[in-house]
Order: sequence, then C-alpha cells, then structure tokens
Amino acid sequence: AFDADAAQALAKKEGCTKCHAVDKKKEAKSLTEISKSLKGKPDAEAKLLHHLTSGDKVKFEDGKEEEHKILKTKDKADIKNLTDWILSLGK
Amino acid sequence: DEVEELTSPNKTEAALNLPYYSAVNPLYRQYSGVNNEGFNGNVDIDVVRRDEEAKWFKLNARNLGLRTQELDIRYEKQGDWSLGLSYDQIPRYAPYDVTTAVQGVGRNTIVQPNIASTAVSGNNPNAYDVTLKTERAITTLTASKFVAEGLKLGFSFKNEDKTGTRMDGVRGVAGTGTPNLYSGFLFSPEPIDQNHKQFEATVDYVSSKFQLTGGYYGSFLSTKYSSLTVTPGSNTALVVPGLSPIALAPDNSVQQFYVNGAYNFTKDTRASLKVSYSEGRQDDNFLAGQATLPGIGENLMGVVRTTEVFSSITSRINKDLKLLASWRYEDRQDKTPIRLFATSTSAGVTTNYYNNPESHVANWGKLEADYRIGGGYSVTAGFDYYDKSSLEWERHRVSETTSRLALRKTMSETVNGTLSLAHSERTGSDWFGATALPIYPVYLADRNRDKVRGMLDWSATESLNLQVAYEAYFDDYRKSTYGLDKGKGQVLSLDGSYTLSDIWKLNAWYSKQTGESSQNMQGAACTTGNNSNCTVNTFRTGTLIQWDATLKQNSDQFGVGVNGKVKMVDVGAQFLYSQDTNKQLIGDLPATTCTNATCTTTGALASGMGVLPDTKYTQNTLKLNATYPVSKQTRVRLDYIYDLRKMDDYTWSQWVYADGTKVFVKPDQVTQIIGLSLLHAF
Amino acid sequence: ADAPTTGGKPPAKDLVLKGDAKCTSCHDESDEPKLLHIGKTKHGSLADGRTPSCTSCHGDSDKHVNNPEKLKERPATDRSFGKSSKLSADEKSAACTTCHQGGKHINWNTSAHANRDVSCTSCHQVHAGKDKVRDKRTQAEVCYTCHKQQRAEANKPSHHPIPEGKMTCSDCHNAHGSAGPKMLVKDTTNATCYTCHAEKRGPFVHNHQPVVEDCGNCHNPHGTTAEGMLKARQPFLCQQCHGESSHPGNIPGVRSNQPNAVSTNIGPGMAQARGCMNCHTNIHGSNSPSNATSSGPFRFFR
Ligand code: HEC
Ligand code: HEC
Ligand code: HEC
Ligand code: HEC
Ligand code: HEC
Ligand code: HEC
Ligand code: HEC
Ligand code: HEC
Ligand code: HEC
Ligand code: HEC
Ligand code: HEC
Repeated sequence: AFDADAAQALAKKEGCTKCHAVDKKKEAKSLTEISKSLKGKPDAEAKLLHHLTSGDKVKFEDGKEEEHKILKTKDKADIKNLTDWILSLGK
Repeated sequence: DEVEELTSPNKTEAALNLPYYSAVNPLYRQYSGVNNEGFNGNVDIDVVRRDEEAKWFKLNARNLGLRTQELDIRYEKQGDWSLGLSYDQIPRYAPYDVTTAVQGVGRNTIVQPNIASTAVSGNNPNAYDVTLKTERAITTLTASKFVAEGLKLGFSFKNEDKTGTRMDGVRGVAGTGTPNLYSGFLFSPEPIDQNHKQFEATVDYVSSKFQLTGGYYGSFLSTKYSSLTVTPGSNTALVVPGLSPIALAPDNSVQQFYVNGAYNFTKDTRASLKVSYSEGRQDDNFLAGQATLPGIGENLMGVVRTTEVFSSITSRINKDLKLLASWRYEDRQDKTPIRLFATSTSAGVTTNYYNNPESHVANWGKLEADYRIGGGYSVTAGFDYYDKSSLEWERHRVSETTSRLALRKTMSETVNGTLSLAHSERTGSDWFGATALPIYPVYLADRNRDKVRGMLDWSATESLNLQVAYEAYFDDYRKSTYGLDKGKGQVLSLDGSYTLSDIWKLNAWYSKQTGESSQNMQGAACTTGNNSNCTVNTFRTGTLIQWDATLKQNSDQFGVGVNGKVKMVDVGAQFLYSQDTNKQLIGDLPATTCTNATCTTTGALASGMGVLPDTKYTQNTLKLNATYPVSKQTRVRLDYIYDLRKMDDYTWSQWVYADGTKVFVKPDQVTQIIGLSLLHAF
Repeated sequence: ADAPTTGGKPPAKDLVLKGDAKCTSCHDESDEPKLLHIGKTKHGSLADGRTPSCTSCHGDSDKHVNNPEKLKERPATDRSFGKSSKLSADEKSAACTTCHQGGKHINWNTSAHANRDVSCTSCHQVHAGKDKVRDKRTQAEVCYTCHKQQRAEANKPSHHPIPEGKMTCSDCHNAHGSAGPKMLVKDTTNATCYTCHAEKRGPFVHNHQPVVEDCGNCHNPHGTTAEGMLKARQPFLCQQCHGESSHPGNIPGVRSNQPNAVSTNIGPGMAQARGCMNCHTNIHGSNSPSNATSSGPFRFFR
C-alpha cells in the first residue's frame, strides 16, 4: 500500500513536476507513460530507483541531453512510496 | 480548467460572521468599536472580476454592520482609466467608564450640576453613565486616466467627518467646603463635529529616462463648534468667569502645489528634485461674545507660507561603490499679522500679550557612501547634517551632525547580518534671556546621541529561521541644568519560525524594551499639609526646591502562532502576551544642584508628595480558529478569542472631579468572543 | 518571445503571460509553488500591453532553459530572487524599476530601504494572488520582520488602530521613499499628521512652539504607555521643557498618598487625570481672542 497524495506531494516538492506531469506530456514523458513502459518488467522498481539516484544522462525531445535530476530526500520509505506510486500509474 | 483556476482573479465570496461577545470592556472596545454584549453579526463581501480587456471590477466590504465597517469599490481598465469609491468608519471609545451629573455632554454647553458643594463626594443621585467616543466616517473618490503613453492624470477627493466627544476638563475654583472635596477641576468633555475635505489632482509622466509628478493638494477643515461653554449650576463658585467659553479648533485650510521630477543620467546615476509651495489660512470667525481689544477684528487673518525643496543624487561609481547625496530645505513663514490681544498691569508693570506667529527655516543634508568590501560584506559610511533657525526661539539656531557607520553581511544563504552605529551632536547659538532659563525646549537643547542597531538573520536549517535584533539609543543632554538630563532606550527581539512540515508552521517572538530617562526640575513645594505657604488656592508660593525624576519603563512581549491542518480542518492559534511597567522615581530631595539665585533654601516636602506608584498594563490575548470545508464552495469557521487586559494606573483611580464626576478603569477586563462564520464562494 | 516549438510535444502555449511558454513548458500548473498565481495580479492582465513576461523579470535565462553545459545543477535564471540568489538588492530591484520608477516610486533610489539592501521583493510577493504587504490587515506583519521596535510600540496601551486593522504603516510612510523625513508621505511630520488631525494645524492666536515645530516633540505615533501616545507622562513631559521656578516644576503626587489639603490641586493636579492639561486645556494652541489675561486664553487655558 502506498499513499498517493504523499507521493505526489513529494514529486512536486522534488521538482519532478517541472518536467513530468502525471498524465500529460511536458518537457518529458508523463509519469503515467513512464509507468506503462516499465510495466511488467521484473526489475522495474530497481531501475526506477537507480534512475532517481544516479543522475544518468537523459535525452529531451529536442535532442538536448542532461544529467537527470537526483532525488534530494534520502528517506527510504518516502522513496519507496514514490516509486510504488509511479509504478501504479500505468495500470 | 486548472490553469484557469490558478490564473483567474475572478471570485465572488461572502462571509456571514456571528461573533458572540461575553462582555463589553473599555480597553478591548477602544478601537474594535463593539459596544454590545451578545451577538454582533456582520458581513464581508469580496468580488473580483477581470475580463479579456483587462477591465477590473472589485468590490470589497468588511465588517458590514459593525462600527468598523468599510467598503471599497473599484472599476478600472488597467493601463487606461480607473474609478474608485470607498467608505471607511473608524470608531474610538475612551478606554474608561465615566459617571457624571454634568449635563450637555456632546454639546457645546456643559452645565454643571445643581448640587451643594459639600455633596459631591457622596453618591450623587443625578449621576449617570456616559460613554465618550468619537467616530470617523471617511468617503474617498478616486479617478485616473492615461491621456498619452506614460502620461497619467489622477484625481482624488476625501471627505472625512469626525464626530463625538472626547475627554477634556477645565480648571475651576476650589470650593469652600471641606477641603478635600474639591480639586477645583471640572469635567467638560469636548464636543467634536468636524469635516475635513482633501483634494488632490496629479499629473504623472513616466519614461525610462525621465519621470515627473506634479500636483495640487488642498485640505479644508471646517469645525461646527468654535467654543465650549461651561455654565455653573447652583454652585456658581465652581466656574471661574475667565475660563469659559473655551475656544475650540477653528476652520483652517492649506493648499499646495508641488512638482517632483527625477532623471536618469545613466543607468547608474539618478538625480531628483522636489519643490513644493503651500499656503495655509486660518480666518475663521472668533468665538462670539468675547471682549477683545480694539482692532482685533473678526478673525486672526492667519497666513502661513511654506516652501520645501528636496533634491538628491545617487550614483553607482562602479560595481562596488555607491554614493548618495541629498539636501532638504524648509522655509516656513507665518505671515499672520501681529496684534495686541491683551494687556495686564500688575504692580505697576504692564505686560502686553500679542499673538505669537512661529516661523522657521531648516536645512538637512546627507552624504552616504556604500562600499562592497568583498566576501559578502559591505560598509556604509554616512554623514548627516541639519540646522534650524527661528527668531522666535529661545536660541536662534541649532544644528546637529551625525556620523554613521554600518557593516552588513549579505547574500549568504544562511546568515545575514547588519550592525550600525551612529553618533550625533547637537549644539546651537547662545540661549536668550536669563542665565537660568525658565524654559529649555528639548529640541533646542545641546545633546549627544549614540545609536546602535544590529540584526542577525540565521537560516539554521531549511525549516528553522532565527532572527535576533537589537536597537538602542543613549542620549546625554549637555549643559542643561533643568529638563532632560539623560535618556536611553533598548529593544531586544528574538524571532523564530519553524516549518514542522508542509502543513504545520510555527512562529514565536519575544521582545524586551526598556527605557530610562532622568530629568531635573525646580519647583515650589508645600512644606506642610495646609500650611500658610501653600493653601488650596495659592499653590505655587511654597519654598523652591530642586529635584529630579527618573522614569523607567520596561515592556516584555511574547507572541506565538501555529497554523496547520487536522484532517480536513484548517486550524490556527495565536497568543500575545504583553506587559508594560512604568516606574517614576522622584529622587534626592532636596537635590544638591541649586543654580537659581532665588533658590537659597530647599524646603521639606509634605508627606506623600513625590511618591508615584508604579503603573502596569498587561494584555493576554489567545485566538483560536478552525475552518472546515463543508463543500468546495462552502466553509464554516469557528473562532474563539480570550482577551484579558489589566490596567493598574493611578491616573484616574481615586480621581474625582469637583463636580463629582468619576472616571473608572476596571482593573481586570476579560473579554471572550465565540464566533461562527459561514463562508461561501459563489 | 522565442517559445521553443519542438515536435512531439503539444505546441507550446502561453499560460498566463505573453511569451511565457519558454518557461511554462516546465513551470506549469503542476509546478510548486504555484507560480501561475501571478495571473491573478495586475501583471497577469494580458490586455494591458505594459505587463511583463517571465523573462522581463527573470531575464532571458537561456542557460537555465537549455542547460547547455550539461551541469548537474541546473543553472539559475539570469535573475533570481530567492534566498540563494547571488544578486545584490539593487540588482533585484532593477528588475522592477524598469517599469516602476515614476509616481509613488520616484524617490526610491534615495530611500533608506534602497540603500540598506532592501529590495522590492523583500516586501512584495509577485507570484502570490494576494500580496501581504498591500493588505491593510497584514501589512504591518511584513514591516515587523525588520522593524521590531515599532511592533513593540504598536502593542502598547496607547496606539493608533494598527493592530486592529483600521490603520496601517503606509498611511504615514511611503515604503518606496519620499521627499520628507523618514519616508513620510508628506514633506514634514506635521503635514503628515494634519492629513488626519487638521484641527491641530492652526495657526492660532496663541501657538505652542513645540507643536508648530514638530508633533514628534511630544508624541510617538507608533504607540506609548502614556495616554494620548505621549512620550512621557504628565507632568514629566511638560517638565522636560518647563522649569519656571513656580508650579510648572512642582512635584507631583497622588491623591491617596497625600494629606487632604495638599491634594486639592497641587500634587494630584499635576499627575492625575489630565495632569497639566487639567488647566492648560488647549495645549495645541488656542484661538481665543479674549482680552482676559491671567486666567484667560493665554497659556492655553481656553
Ligand atoms: C529538467 C527536467 C526533469 C526533471 C526536473 C525530472 N525529470 Fe525525470 N526525466 C526527464 C527526462 C528528459 C527523461 C527522459 C526522457 C523522457 O522520458 O521523456 C526523464 C525520465 C524519467 C524517468 C524514466 C526513466 C526511465 O528509465 O525510463 C523517471 C521514472 C523519471 N524521469 C522520474 C523523475 C522524478 C521522480 C523526478 C523528480 C525527482 C524527475 N524525473 C525530475 C526530465 C526531468
Ligand atoms: C527544461 C525545463 C525548464 C524550463 C524550460 C525552465 N525551467 Fe525554471 N526550473 C526548472 C527546474 C528543474 C528547476 C528546479 C531547479 C532546482 O531545484 O535545482 C527550475 C527552477 C527555476 C527557478 C527557481 C530557481 C532559481 O533559479 O531561483 C526559477 C526562478 C525558474 N526556474 C524560472 C524559469 C524561467 C523564468 C524560465 C523561462 C525563461 C524557466 N524557468 C524555464 C526547469 C525549467
Ligand atoms: C514581475 C516580475 C516577475 C515575473 C513577470 C515573473 N516572475 Fe518569477 N519570480 C519573481 C520574483 C520576485 C520571485 C521571487 C519569489 C517571490 O518573491 O515571489 C520569483 C520566483 C520564481 C520562481 C521560484 C519560486 C520558488 O520560490 O521556488 C519561479 C520558478 C519563477 N519565479 C518562475 C516564473 C515564471 C514561469 C514566470 C512567468 C509565468 C515568472 N516567474 C514571471 C518575479 C517575477
Ligand atoms: C515589464 C513591466 C513590469 C515589470 C518588469 C514589473 N512590473 Fe509590476 N506592474 C507592471 C504593470 C503594467 C502593472 C499594473 C500597473 C497598474 O496599472 O496598476 C504592475 C503592477 C504591479 C503591482 C501591483 C499589482 C496588483 O495586482 O495590483 C505590484 C505590487 C508590482 N507591479 C510589483 C512589481 C515588482 C516587485 C516587480 C519586480 C520583481 C515588478 N512589479 C516588475 C509592470 C511591470
Ligand atoms: C518596505 C516594503 C516595500 C518595499 C521594499 C517595496 N514596496 Fe512596493 N509597496 C509596499 C506597500 C506597503 C505598498 C502598498 C501601499 C502603497 O501604495 O504605498 C506597496 C505598493 C506597491 C505597488 C502598488 C502601488 C499602487 O499604486 O497600487 C507597486 C507597483 C509597488 N509597490 C512596487 C514596488 C517596487 C517596484 C519596489 C522596489 C523598487 C517596491 N515596491 C518596494 C511596500 C514595499
Ligand atoms: C501615525 C503616523 C505613523 C504611522 C501609522 C506609522 N509611523 Fe512610523 N513614523 C512616523 C513618524 C512621524 C516618524 C518619525 C519619528 C521621528 O523620527 O520623530 C516615524 C518613524 C519611523 C521609523 C524610523 C524610526 C527611526 O528611529 O528612525 C520607522 C522604522 C517606522 N516609522 C516604521 C513604521 C512601521 C513599521 C509602522 C507600522 C507599524 C509605522 N511606522 C507606522 C509616523 C507613523
Ligand atoms: C527587509 C527588511 C525590511 C522590511 C520588510 C521593511 N523595512 Fe523599513 N527599513 C529597513 C532598514 C534596513 C531600514 C534602515 C534602518 C537603519 O538605517 O537603521 C529601514 C528604514 C525604515 C524607515 C526609516 C526611514 C529613514 O529615512 O530613516 C521607515 C519609516 C521604514 N523603514 C518603514 C517601513 C515600512 C512602513 C515597512 C513595511 C511596509 C518596512 N519599513 C519594511 C528594512 C526593512
Ligand atoms: C491616516 C490617518 C492618521 C494619521 C496620518 C495620523 N493619525 Fe493620529 N489618529 C488617527 C486615528 C484614526 C486615531 C484614533 C482616534 C481618532 O479617530 O481620532 C488617531 C489618534 C491619535 C491620537 C490620540 C490617541 C489616543 O489614544 O488618545 C494621537 C495623540 C495622534 N493620533 C497623534 C498623531 C500624530 C502625532 C500623527 C503624525 C505623526 C498622527 N496622529 C497621524 C489617524 C491618523
Ligand atoms: C507640547 C506637547 C505636544 C505637542 C508638541 C503635540 N501634542 Fe498632541 N497632545 C499633547 C497632550 C498633552 C495631549 C493629551 C491631552 C489632550 O488630550 O488634549 C495631546 C493629545 C493629542 C491628540 C488626541 C486628542 C485629540 O485632540 O484628539 C491628538 C490627535 C494630538 N495630540 C495630535 C497632535 C498633533 C497632530 C501634533 C502636531 C501638530 C501634536 N499633537 C503636538 C501634547 C502635545
Ligand atoms: C518640547 C518643549 C516643550 C514641551 C514638551 C512643552 N512645552 Fe510648553 N512651551 C514650550 C515653549 C518653547 C513655549 C514658548 C515659550 C515662549 O514663548 O518663550 C511654551 C509655552 C508654554 C506656555 C505658555 C507660557 C507663557 O508664558 O505664556 C504654557 C502654559 C505651556 N507651554 C504649557 C505646557 C504644558 C502644560 C506642557 C505639557 C503638555 C508643555 N507646555 C510642554 C515648550 C514646550
Ligand atoms: C491648577 C491649575 C494648573 C495646573 C494643574 C497647572 N497649571 Fe500652569 N498655570 C496655571 C495658571 C493659573 C497659570 C497662570 C499664572 C499667572 O498668570 O500668573 C499657569 C501658568 C503656567 C505657565 C506660564 C509660566 C508661569 O509660571 O506663569 C507655564 C509654563 C505652566 N503654567 C506650565 C504648567 C505645567 C508644566 C504644569 C504641570 C506640571 C502646569 N502648568 C499645571 C494653572 C495651572
């Protein structure tokens, strides 16, 4: 079980929503779309976690590349809640 | 949609408030204007509309139904024209209760009661309660119009009526009965019924290089009553013939023209100039029925012409250095003709009493340099100068110089601070008159003043912010035998705000203010109770003595506020505690300094003189509120206020006017308010 | 402005301000804090051609938008105003004075605020639907973040109705600077007071010199403990100037502390009720033309 409101609040606070809307394309794919693409993958959660903590390069639609934003919070439970929520969006 | 909701200013909201007051207390009522126990229903309305053409309609009403009600309506096309109409009421109740037998309160004839002079201290059967209060009703009309790009015409008209009664009194003559019954002072509240009209017309021109504002300001006061008459009751002895009628404020007006312009020489250098000229007049008819000397005529023919100039230049010399210079000038010329209003002859010496127009000329200059010394530090060094002169003053000219230095640490994410010091010295020309002056106005006295101001802002963590502020001044009045000698005042404040979570926020502050001043005096004293050198009627023929007083004040204030949310309910709480203590210590009698020639001996004092109790004022206010959203549109709000004020002050307690009037200040005043509000957005 | 139009994404559309797409492609309705609230203010009135775009205040900020150097930390906008901003107060205010430098703001550059690192954004919240400093009821709280002494004084028993929300600091002060002393709205203290207390203006037949000189000689308009916002109680206030070797220098007392005869009009008459004004009723000046002397209008009796 996860707390969707808390997850969304964290996404806002971390600034994710500057680039990702929940279900609408902005600078980057919507979180729902991302969730869909990860659907069914066994390592989905680990992948997400890696993505949000490593700062690997991502590519914008217009071709520019940037290191992806890293979560500021170090609270494991909060992060898990966030990833659980993102994963749930595609369903 | 969501964007629309975030960006549209449009709203229509109304609130119906039903506060229940447990009691009416003079201190709480003072400006809240609520004078009824029980429910005091009122309405707030807030309407905003903006259309595609940037036409705004705003209507804001507050406290409709209370004495503090206000209404503001605005209609404008942004960047083109605007119209506004507003109405505001400001009540003020005297912070005490009054019982009196005097008739005519609120009118311009006060009739003293028909009671025997010996009866007043007992319970007067004719006494009744009066509430002294004034109220302002202010209506303002504004309009503006752009007539060309950057060129705006503006107009405003403010009509203010102030009506009511305020505490006042007049000296009577001490009665002849048992001495303690009469202090010889009569209760004679002043009726107020005046109208003040203010007009302002402006032209604003703005371009990126050059800005100009010019205008006309007119202020016209008319008062309904020109005098207050105090008529004796059967106890005619109470009213001194020469003390009634009392003149009340006359009609007067002032009209002013001004221009204020500024010019940007470069991006970094800007100069400004303001010049204004005004003419004030006071030619209201004198109060009727007065014996006057020949040639006095119907009115004062008062005319005051004032010219003011302000000019400045600021320049950033380079990235790190900024300079400022400014100069202000005032020339106030009271051109009222001087005439002889009275003469009196005593012991063969005739004194002439003329009216006393007051004129003065003053200059203020300022030079300041601000330098960034790196590492986030900057220093500001400044020099201020002023001089004022007047032929009417006890000393024709005074001047003061101030040097200041401030160090600031800025642009740091966590710590910012300032520390500034200033030192001023005021001196002037010779004093006129006798060696030991009977009068030494503080604003003309030689004075050294030191000031310190410091502030530290510390963002301890992302959620905790702390602030320490300290301000102090230290005055030393040099060369003054009498009057103010020393003074100092300090304020230390601590403020903190803490964000517990996105929802819960806490802030708290504490301030301690202390002040101390000492002053020296010489005065006549009664040496014995009802001694011949000091009878009830002659109160200033006692022995001259030297004395000094030290006035101390201490004030502690503490405030906390919490805001948050419990489930769906927004909750908030605020608490304010404030305590003010004043001590007036009268000391060292007889004092050692005795510079007056006539002061050869110092007298003993009648017991009780020079003993003033401390005074204390305490306020505790707790406010709680909770707002519950019934639906997206409707909310219900519950408020609770507990307010305790305590006044322990000798000013009015045990005071009885010679006419029997008593003034009470209830020592403990508890007001509780429970309020239910219904808020709806349409 | 130059809104990026890239394939795949819905065409960038302005949300609130002219040409804001450059920014609102990221900072849209889901961004926190709610920047779009700027739309509720006058800055958001698109039909007024003078209103700003995001870039008018924040600068073109291409580095921030595109992060061309691929920095880990997205570069700040050309002009940022928050706590972490590297700009000086002057540089922050410059974002505003391009548009706001006339009218009431004409003397900003010489104000104590402009010269002590206070910027427009120290007081104004431009992204908020409601700007605290421009609401009569909340304004003082903003001022109190710096002016503690005035906060302490406004809570004293004798004060202008500021805590009660019926008056506010800007009734007397123009926070943007003025040609008068202490940024007062009029050219002098007295002229400022006369906007509400015109009955004290006179001139009178009998003027009281300190009144004409400056109301601040006797009053502290922010609040005091003594009745009538007087700087000191009766009779001490008067005795700061008056030391005539007779009753003006008399020693005060309180009725209950004194023997009956003395309490008639000496000690208590100086310290209790209206103090010296028990007799000198018209202390701000009297307009009585009467030729009665000793007990007459001279010396402000009537
Ligand atoms: C400055 C823009 C920006 C910010 C801020 C941002 N992202 Fe991203 N994010 C991207 C881009 C670009 C991609 C990759 C391209 C795409 O998916 O459109 C991406 C991809 C992702 C992915 C998909 C990774 C994958 O492997 O497919 C996730 C999950 C994600 N972001 C979550 C987040 C979260 C959570 C935050 C907040 C901590 C955040 N993003 C903040 C721009 C951003
Ligand atoms: C590509 C997405 C994107 C675009 C386009 C964008 N921003 Fe940002 N902006 C961000 C992100 C992500 C942050 C948060 C940075 C952080 O927290 O480190 C941010 C933070 C900010 C901040 C706060 C930080 C600061 O610098 O003070 C401001 C102000 C800002 N943006 C203004 C703008 C303006 C103005 C524009 C248009 C000129 C703009 N942004 C365009 C993504 C963007
Ligand atoms: C009138 C000037 C002005 C305009 C126009 C403006 N801003 Fe700002 N912005 C500011 C100021 C000033 C701040 C600092 C925060 C404050 O005081 O409200 C700020 C803060 C921000 C922040 C940081 C918020 C935070 O607290 O983290 C972002 C992001 C931002 N602006 C984006 C925008 C965007 C997007 C637009 C256009 C829709 C815009 N601004 C238009 C003046 C402006
Ligand atoms: C490009 C021009 C421009 C810039 C830059 C600008 N403003 Fe404005 N501002 C305006 C205009 C136009 C108005 C509307 C004036 C009117 O007609 O009342 C306005 C109105 C305001 C108002 C009143 C808002 C209201 O809703 O009543 C405030 C406060 C304000 N500006 C503050 C600022 C501050 C602070 C800054 C800088 C951070 C700033 N402005 C920058 C053009 C600008
Ligand atoms: C110390 C606080 C403070 C500072 C600093 C400050 N203001 Fe204001 N501002 C106020 C207050 C208070 C008001 C409302 C009363 C008034 O109009 O004077 C206001 C009103 C305004 C208005 C609306 C005026 C109107 O006619 O409705 C604008 C525009 C404005 N300020 C812009 C600015 C700009 C630009 C700066 C910087 C150059 C600035 N302010 C600095 C306190 C401040
Ligand atoms: C009734 C008019 C009035 C009101 C209301 C008012 N002031 Fe003042 N203020 C003055 C006058 C007059 C002075 C100049 C006093 C002096 O120097 O003698 C002054 C001076 C000041 C000073 C400078 C003090 C110094 O020592 O240099 C500050 C700061 C100040 N006021 C802040 C405020 C704040 C904050 C508020 C609102 C809580 C406020 N004022 C409300 C009239 C007013
Ligand atoms: C961000 C801090 C800050 C805020 C907020 C602030 N002030 Fe000030 N104010 C200052 C500083 C700093 C000074 C200079 C004091 C000094 O030199 O000791 C000052 C000086 C003043 C002065 C004295 C001016 C002079 O010429 O000496 C007045 C009056 C004043 N402020 C009024 C206000 C009012 C009214 C408000 C609210 C509308 C306000 N201030 C808000 C920081 C602030
Ligand atoms: C914006 C209007 C306004 C201005 C300007 C103003 N006052 Fe007042 N004043 C009031 C109001 C309202 C009251 C409450 C009583 C009343 O309505 O007269 C008041 C009351 C007073 C009182 C009596 C308080 C009491 O408790 O008895 C004094 C003294 C006073 N003002 C002095 C001043 C001085 C000195 C100045 C100038 C520095 C000044 N006022 C400027 C509005 C103003
Ligand atoms: C010589 C000292 C002194 C000076 C200077 C002075 N006052 Fe007063 N003022 C007093 C005293 C004493 C009282 C209280 C007695 C009373 O209520 O009449 C008072 C009371 C007031 C009141 C409240 C009572 C009422 O009449 O409404 C106002 C308002 C007021 N003064 C305004 C002013 C203004 C405006 C100025 C400057 C033009 C000024 N005062 C200058 C001594 C002074
Ligand atoms: C700041 C200085 C100052 C204060 C405070 C002050 N006065 Fe005065 N007073 C003067 C000056 C100066 C004169 C004019 C003397 C002259 O004309 O030479 C004067 C004149 C008088 C006169 C007329 C004297 C005469 O000979 O005709 C009386 C009476 C008086 N004051 C009473 C008071 C009372 C009562 C108070 C307290 C409310 C008071 N004063 C407060 C400075 C002050
Ligand atoms: C009981 C009434 C009363 C009280 C109380 C009172 N005075 Fe007087 N005052 C008078 C009278 C009567 C005169 C006129 C004496 C004369 O004409 O010879 C006077 C005259 C003066 C004068 C003119 C100089 C002089 O000695 O003739 C000053 C100054 C003065 N008073 C100040 C004060 C001060 C200060 C206080 C408070 C300490 C005060 N008064 C309290 C009744 C009073």
